Amino acid sequence: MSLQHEVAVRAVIRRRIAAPRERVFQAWTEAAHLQRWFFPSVNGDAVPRAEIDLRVGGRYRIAMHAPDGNITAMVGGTYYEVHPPERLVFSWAWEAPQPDPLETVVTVELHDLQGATEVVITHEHAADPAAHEHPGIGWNCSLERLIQLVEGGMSQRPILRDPCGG
Amino acid sequence: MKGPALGNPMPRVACYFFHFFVLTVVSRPIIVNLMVNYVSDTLDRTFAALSDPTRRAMLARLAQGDASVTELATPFAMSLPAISKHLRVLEQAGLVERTRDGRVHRLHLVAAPLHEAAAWIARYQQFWEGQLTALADYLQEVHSKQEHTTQDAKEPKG
Repeated sequence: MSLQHEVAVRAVIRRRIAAPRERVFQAWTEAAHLQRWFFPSVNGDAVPRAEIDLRVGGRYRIAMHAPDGNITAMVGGTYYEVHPPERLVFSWAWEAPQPDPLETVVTVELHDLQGATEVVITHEHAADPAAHEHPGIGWNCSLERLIQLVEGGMSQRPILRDPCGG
Repeated sequence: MKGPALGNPMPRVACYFFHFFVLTVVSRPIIVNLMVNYVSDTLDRTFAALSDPTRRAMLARLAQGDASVTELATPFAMSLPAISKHLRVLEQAGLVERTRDGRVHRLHLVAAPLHEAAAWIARYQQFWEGQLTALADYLQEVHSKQEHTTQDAKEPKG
C-alpha cells in the first residue's frame, strides 16, 4: 500500500546566475553587498540597510529606510546553518510595518555549475522539517493539484490510487 | 486624483515587488492588520497540519472523496487513537469536516485553507523570483565594473 501521497507546501525557486558561488554567497552574507540588491527596484525612495551577524545563532535584520528615516519594512531572523559557499539556512519574520507571527524558514543552496551557480531558495513554514530530513523525497504533488482534485470532484476515481503520481 | 491618496506615498517599485509588498507588508489599516493576523494564525495551523506526512497522506486520500474514519485509517499501520489525533489536528486547522450519518462519521476535505496556503506560497515564489533577478543583475553589474577596471589597468597609458 503506497503512502507516498505528498503535498509540496513550500515555495521553491531555482535560478542560474553567471557568477561563482563564492561571489553569490558573499552577496547573501555581507551587509555591504546585500543592501545593494535586496528589496529590489526601490529607486531611491527607500534604501535597504542590513545588519548581519553571520554565525549559527547569529541574527540578521534588513530594513528599508525612507528618506525621512522611517522604517517602511523590516525583516529579520536567526541563522540556523552557515556553510560557505554552499548553504545558508535562516528564519524569516516580518517585523515592520506590522509583525507577522508566522514563523518561516528560508534555505539558500548554491550549486556549482562550472563557474556559474544554480541558486535554489526554499521558503517554508517552520513546522515543516521535511525539507531538511528528506530532501526531494516524496514531494510529488503541488498544493494546486490537491485543490484541483478536491474541487474537481474526484469521488468517481478508484480509491487509494495516488492522486498526485499516477 | 490619480494613484493611491491614502496614507504615506508608496515607494516606486517594480511590479513583482509591488504585489508582494501590498499583500503582505504595506497593509496598514487596522482592519487589514487584523485580517493579516487572522490569516497568519490560520496559515500557521494549516502549515502545521500539513507538516506531517501521515496527515498529508490523509488529505490526499480525502481529495479522492469523503471517507469514514475506518476507511481513512485502513492504509496506515497505526492505532485508531493515533489516527484520531491526526484527524483532530486536521479538523482544528479547518482542513477536514466531520458529518454524522447515524453512527458513521463521514470525513470531508475542505479546500479553503489550502487556497490560503497556496496563495502564501505563490506570493513568496513571486517575491524570491524578483529578489533573484535583482541578485543576478547586481552580480552582473559588479562583474562588468571589475572587467572594466582590469581592462583599464592593462591598457598602457600615454
